[in-house]
Amino acid sequence: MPLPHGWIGTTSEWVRGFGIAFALLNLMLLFFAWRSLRGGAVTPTGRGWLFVAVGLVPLMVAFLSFAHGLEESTTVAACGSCHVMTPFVQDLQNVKSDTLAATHFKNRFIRESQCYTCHSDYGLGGTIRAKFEGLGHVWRYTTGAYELPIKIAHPYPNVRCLGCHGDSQKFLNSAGHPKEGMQSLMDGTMRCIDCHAPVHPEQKKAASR
Amino acid sequence: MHRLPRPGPSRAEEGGQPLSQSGLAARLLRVAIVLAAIFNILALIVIVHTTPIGFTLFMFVGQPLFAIAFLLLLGAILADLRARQIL
Repeated sequence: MPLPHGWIGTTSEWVRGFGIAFALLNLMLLFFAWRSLRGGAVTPTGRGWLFVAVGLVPLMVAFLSFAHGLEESTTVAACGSCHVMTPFVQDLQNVKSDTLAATHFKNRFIRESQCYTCHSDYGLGGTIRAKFEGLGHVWRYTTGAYELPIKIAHPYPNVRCLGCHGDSQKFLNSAGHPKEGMQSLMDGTMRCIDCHAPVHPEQKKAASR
Repeated sequence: MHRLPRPGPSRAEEGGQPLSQSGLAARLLRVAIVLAAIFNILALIVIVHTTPIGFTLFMFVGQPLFAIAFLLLLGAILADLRARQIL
């Protein structure tokens, strides 16, 4: 689709652009700092290069890379970069699929970062926990310490569904959600995904690593 | 007597450091530059194409390397200030 008139880019695109510019600038500054030390002595000019190249600009690079990396690591592409996630991502993006994940994706019920939105809890605590779990995923994927088929680590909590659906009129007035059953949904004794399955496609047991 | 050769000002008095100390400082600062360069390359990888493994490397290898480089620079600055008897 063509971009709207006057489009000047998203915050993420600007952060990326500035990040690349600052990182390249810093590499150039480091080169000049290295050259200033050629005589084996630290000259006043060399001190200046070093202060900017090792002390100041890297702080900017660190901030921009961290901000961009944190944002980008929540995308579907980032989750799909590990090959064990390929069947999940393929199903998610398949417009003919009727799994719960694909329904949310194709109808844009969640606009972006669909994997992360459904697999992290709300608030700062949820983000931090999701990042630490992601770190565990990277470790297990890199060391091969996982078993196929992939299973969710913890039972899926209703609060992640109810964070969006809980106050919607469609949910509250649906015949499938009678008022007497609401308490068991809220306290988690009845799970949303028990009725709204399948969430993802069934995995083949013989899947290879 | 006034024509006799006299020792010139030391490197420390000129604004630099004594030769042996300066050589050590230059070597440490070179290490700091290399560490900062590795940090920059890891940062560039994250910015150009973010993957979970790349981001993890940046966070747990790149940033500590930058911290070490920064501490080396700080140490060199403090040593320099001490040599000039400012601190």
